[in-house]
Amino acid sequence: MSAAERLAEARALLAEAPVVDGHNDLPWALREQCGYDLDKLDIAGDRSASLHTDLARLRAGGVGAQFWSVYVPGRLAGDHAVSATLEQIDAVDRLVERYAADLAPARTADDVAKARAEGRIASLKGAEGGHSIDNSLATLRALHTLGVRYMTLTHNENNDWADSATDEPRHGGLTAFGRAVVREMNRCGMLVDLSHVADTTMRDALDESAAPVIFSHSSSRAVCDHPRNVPDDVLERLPANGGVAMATFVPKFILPAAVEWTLRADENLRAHGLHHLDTTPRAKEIHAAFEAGHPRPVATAATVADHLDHMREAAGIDHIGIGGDYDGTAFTPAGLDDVAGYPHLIAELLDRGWSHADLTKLTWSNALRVLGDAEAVSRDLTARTAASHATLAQLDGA
Amino acid sequence: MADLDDHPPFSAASGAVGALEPPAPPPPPLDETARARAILAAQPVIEGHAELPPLLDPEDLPPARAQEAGAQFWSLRVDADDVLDTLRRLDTVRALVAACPEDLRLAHTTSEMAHARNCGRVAALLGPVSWTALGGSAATLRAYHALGVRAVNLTRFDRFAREAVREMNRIGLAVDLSGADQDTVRKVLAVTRAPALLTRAEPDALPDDVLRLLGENGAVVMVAVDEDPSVAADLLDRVRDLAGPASTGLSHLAARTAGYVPLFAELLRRDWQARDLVGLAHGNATRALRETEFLSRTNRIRPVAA
Repeated sequence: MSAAERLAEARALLAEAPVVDGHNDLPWALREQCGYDLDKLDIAGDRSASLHTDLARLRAGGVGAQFWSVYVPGRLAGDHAVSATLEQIDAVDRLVERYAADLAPARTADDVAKARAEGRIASLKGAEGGHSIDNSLATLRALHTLGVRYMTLTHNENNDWADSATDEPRHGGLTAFGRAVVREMNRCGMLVDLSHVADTTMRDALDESAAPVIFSHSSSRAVCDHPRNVPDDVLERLPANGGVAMATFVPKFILPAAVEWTLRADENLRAHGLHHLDTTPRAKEIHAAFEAGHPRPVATAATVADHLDHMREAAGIDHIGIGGDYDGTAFTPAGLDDVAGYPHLIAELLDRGWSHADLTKLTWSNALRVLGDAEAVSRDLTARTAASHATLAQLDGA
Repeated sequence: MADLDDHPPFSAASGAVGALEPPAPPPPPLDETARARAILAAQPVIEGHAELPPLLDPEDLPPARAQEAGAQFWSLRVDADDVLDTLRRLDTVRALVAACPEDLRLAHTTSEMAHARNCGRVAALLGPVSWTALGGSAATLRAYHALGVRAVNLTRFDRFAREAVREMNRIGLAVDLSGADQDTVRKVLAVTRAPALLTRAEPDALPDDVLRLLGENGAVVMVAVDEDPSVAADLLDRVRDLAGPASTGLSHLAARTAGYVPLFAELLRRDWQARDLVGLAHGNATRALRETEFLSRTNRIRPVAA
């Protein structure tokens, strides 16, 4: 079978089992690039100059449901984090309202299935980082009422009740309040997302959660040793938990050579007295000079497929998915350059002998099952238990 | 019965037409207290202000049934200027409503309000939230609306207020002008196209011409009722004279024991008509809320504020 035929087969498959993608940062990109003014950055047009995402490319990529990230940075604390999260939620709601012919609001597995039947892209919301609730379970419930259906327990920094994968260990996983957050998420029907968190937090959350968990955008630690990826012992617990690990495409997490290259590029910036996430013109200049001397290693669809092959071995075909992190990363793999790229990944997996039934689980049905199971757990817990009003001070001491 | 308003204010007892038997002697006229009691039995009050104790333990909710009330606005005002406290308050009121399904029912619209009453429940409306809890963000305003809030207490006319009032008109959030000074009231009334509410009005703080402006706007000036009903009756007389009978309303009972009967009896003695008392009890507030909803439906074509 030629490459073109395989790509056509991938597209045909995605027409029936479109991608449920776990993480897309378009809302934050809209905030940064146009202050949420959709007249200035209309995604009905071609936005490939500044975004990975627009409607035409979502369609071309075979996306059937998208968890839009309502991310706010960890440096925002307290009330500011909550307000900024409300703005991000509003941005998604306005986006869905404005492009109603293409995007459908979705809060449940049924909504997602219905959107597919209508030929629209189901739009779900996920919060990225426990700082978005400012240690308040009432705020957690408000986010749920506003349609947020997962929360990543931390972002790049620890918070008061959970350790992040990319920060110094502080609690050794989840604190007592952190476990109460997980239980309340189970109760109200918000998926516990374990991307970004420390291994200790992953294990604590799996111990505590009564509902399936997700990794909205994380790949395999065994394939590429980066703290943002999932270790095998955790992947192996997913069958018992029922959850799903959605492989991400971010080159600096998935390609060992890119991990190495990023470390050296960061060191180079620090050697010039700058922070490694600095994006000022001077930092960009220094970085460009580094890149001229040290070509950036390029990931491909095969890199992502390597992760999925391994994750499938470790977690099982029923517990994997896709979470591209488009518009949340500067670089993307060759061939998976933007949200139009998913068919290339599916073609690569077809090449490796993945069956249609397996690919349908990967792109569509695993994620839907997890949503539905979390709803069932929530119905059960809501009938049996009252909302928690626990506070950080009560459970973890002042 | 479809709606609160469809309830005929006071149907004269309809005698059988053309009856052959001689008419029975008319019953002795009811005294004002008995008439007030009869009015309130049929016309439950929409209260502009109900509040949970600020330091209430959410596990320890008070009994919620309010005498004579058909609907209540649950205040989400907070002292601190933050979103978090407002969300906590909102969560507690929702928990209260959920804990008392026999007594309370959450209502987002006038239809839901009427439906709650038809089911024998007191309708709980969420709001107002404090102006300072918006953080100058139209997105936060819309988030509160999505969470069920239906009134915002606008207390100062800052730069954000003009756009915020238009956005509130667009999405169907009532502007509550309780506690606003006369300058703010004038500025808001110049912008808003929906009737304002004053859920905790102090009309004696407002000059005559502002009360007239409120009348033109269709606003509802909701007055608290004290132990001595003549105080509230004096305030309501002034509101009726300047703003009109369609602008009167009730906020809450400062003294729970006596209920609204003494006030209604006092107003009957002051020659208020039954239909004005029905407006005072719930007709005026229902009309203002329904106009806010209707304006929002017709306004949706306006673009979203950034």
